[in-house]
Amino acid sequence: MTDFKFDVQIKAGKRTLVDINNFDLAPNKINFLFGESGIGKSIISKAIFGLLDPDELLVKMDGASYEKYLHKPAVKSMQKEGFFVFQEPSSHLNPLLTLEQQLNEGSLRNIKKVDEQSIIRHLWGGADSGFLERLLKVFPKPFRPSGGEKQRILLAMAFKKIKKYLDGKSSKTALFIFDEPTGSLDNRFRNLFLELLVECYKQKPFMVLIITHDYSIISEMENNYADISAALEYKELVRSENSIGLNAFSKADYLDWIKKQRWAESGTIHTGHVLARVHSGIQIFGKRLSFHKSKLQSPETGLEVKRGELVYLKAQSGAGKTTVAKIIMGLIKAQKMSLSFDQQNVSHKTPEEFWRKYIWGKRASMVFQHADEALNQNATVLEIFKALSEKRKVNPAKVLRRIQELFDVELKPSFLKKKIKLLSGGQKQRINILRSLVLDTDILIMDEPLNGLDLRSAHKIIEKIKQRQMDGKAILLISHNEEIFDKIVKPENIYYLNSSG
Amino acid sequence: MNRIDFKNIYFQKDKLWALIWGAGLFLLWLWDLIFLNAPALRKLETAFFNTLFIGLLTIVFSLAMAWLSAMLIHFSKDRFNGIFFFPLKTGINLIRSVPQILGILIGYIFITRFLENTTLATPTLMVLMAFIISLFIFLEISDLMLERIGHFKKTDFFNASKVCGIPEFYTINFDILYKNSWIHIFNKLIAVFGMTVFLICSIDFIVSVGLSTDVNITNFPSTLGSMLAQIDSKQDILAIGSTLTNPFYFPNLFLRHLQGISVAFLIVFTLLSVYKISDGFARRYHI
Repeated sequence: MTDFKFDVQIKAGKRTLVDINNFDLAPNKINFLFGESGIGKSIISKAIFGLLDPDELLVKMDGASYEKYLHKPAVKSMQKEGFFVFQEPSSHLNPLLTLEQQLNEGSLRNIKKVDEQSIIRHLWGGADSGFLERLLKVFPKPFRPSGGEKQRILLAMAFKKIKKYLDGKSSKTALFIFDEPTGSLDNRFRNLFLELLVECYKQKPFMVLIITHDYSIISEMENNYADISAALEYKELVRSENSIGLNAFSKADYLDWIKKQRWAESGTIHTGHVLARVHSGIQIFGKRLSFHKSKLQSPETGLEVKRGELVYLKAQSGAGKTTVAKIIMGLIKAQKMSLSFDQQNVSHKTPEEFWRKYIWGKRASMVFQHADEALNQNATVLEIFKALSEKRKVNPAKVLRRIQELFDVELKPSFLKKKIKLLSGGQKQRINILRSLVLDTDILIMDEPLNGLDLRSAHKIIEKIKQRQMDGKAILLISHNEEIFDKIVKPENIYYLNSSG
Repeated sequence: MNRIDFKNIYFQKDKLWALIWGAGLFLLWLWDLIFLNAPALRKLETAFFNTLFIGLLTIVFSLAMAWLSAMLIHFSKDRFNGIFFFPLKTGINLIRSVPQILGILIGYIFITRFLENTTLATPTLMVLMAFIISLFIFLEISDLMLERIGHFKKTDFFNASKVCGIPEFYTINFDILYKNSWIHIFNKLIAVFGMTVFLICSIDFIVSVGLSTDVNITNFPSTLGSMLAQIDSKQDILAIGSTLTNPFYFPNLFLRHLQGISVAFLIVFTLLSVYKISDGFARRYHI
């Protein structure tokens, strides 16, 4: 195991979940692993770290049984020295313990208090100590902390373990796995995490595996940490016909692509006509939401969704971007709000009937953030599209043709009969997006449209969005992927959401 | 076509128990064919099939009533300012407040009153009996449907369908009840079948005491319950007790007291099998 090269086979009953040969990690380097959702990144890394349950899954590591692998001294020492940050922070945190108690569980207890405080202060961007003290006293559920705060607590745990490794004399290889460590963080906090990681790495190298969909990390590393570029490895899990493989990912592919991105101008006659306007000062859950242009300190303004324009709404994680989208779509009632569709004014008193009659699927539609939750997992691909037709009849060949536009590999007609739950995360996300695209509504709200997509698929989706804009549609984008959307949206159409109170 | 996988059937307890039930019934029939007199066997067959028919019919009626009430409750809640919701919910709660066995007995009283003035063919009577039983059972399925709808309404998938302009009626029926709840509903239907068999047997036994001087058990379709209440069967059951003092009499139970023993066995064995099938099904599908 010294070369960190693995053949991994994982089966659930008769179904093969993963079968990959030569999955290799570069020792004492920071390995970035990309690839579409559901391709197996998390499960492979869990298998390597010895976290799978052999009673539930049939796992073979390098052709041998998983029990044998788990008993290897190298694996035991990897678990003792290293740390695994799970993708979903809520599932990792114990709801019965305060955040402070969890930060000091097990071997994490032996880290100096001063180190813990410096880690937390760093990850929170120098927030005042009173705020942090109060935060650490809360339990993970039900309302506080936010997703981003939970994620930073997990990162703080990992950094405490890293500190222990740095202070220790152990020469054994330590592996730190971060599964989507920045999924709930905005760019500022993501960069603070990377800064701390590199700082620690420079003190004494260790092996890191960062699983991510955030390709803009490449730019961040390239722009600010070029001095350690030799220690950075970019890899990608790729699906071919019947198998998956680990390929080197060329950072130039992303950097060149992002460099070429420009906003487009729609040439249609009514370009710029406001189709929806949301007034600043929405009151919901005891908070006040306001919109600002160019930066948070600028005066409040109304959010305007215009024909033939892309509009980008950004904010810190947990500020309420998705809530705004749901308010526009009439899915959440605010205590106070005012918006208009064309000339029709809508307030918090407007009944749901209005959206049902005039908006949903007619003038506006919305792509939800998580395809897993937005699609009926037990429906087939064809049934998802059948539901959109009034008579529940569609031409399967036409549907397949539309889906094919978003896929690289040639799809067989049997793909339409596949249940959604059997698709990969990236495939689900493309179906999720296409469902709203085929409705061809004037307004389209897209909440994190690039979630779970690999670079090629993200590229296709961006092209589709631009094409839709050129056709004169209004698109409201919500995403924390600032690097991409800052490029394809005109600066005057970028709004910042502020949450106060 | 789905075929029974005999290799794995031991681990699929629902299928295993369905097979055991079928095999048990067949063996009992074979035994009775040889040792039970022909008129008693005919009566037993009729009682069994009548019970089965009422049970299956109850499933159909309960399912239809449950679906209708679930739809009415769900859609009346947010529409027409909820004016239909309150009376509907009150009516449903009124039915809920009546103990099932009592409600069905009251229903039987109505049938009895009706039969005092008119004559009805056996199939019509069985339909009527199934309808009355359904009236006091359907809430079990209706509650399950509303619970499933309530669960999925909180998820993004329900809202995502809405914003795509998919009618709520379609999402609820196709996506939630059919695609995501058929296993739960089917399991409930198996339980309803078991419950119906139990209720028919209990009530028909009670009814056999007599509800009216003009209408008696002979006016009602013969079921396992009413057959158990017959004097021959009662004597057969009592014979089980006499084996406690005279163990050598035990083999005679299966030769000379077959009618009562067969009826009792059919009731107990069917209820046990249905329970096992339902339990195995729930485990297989991780309900």
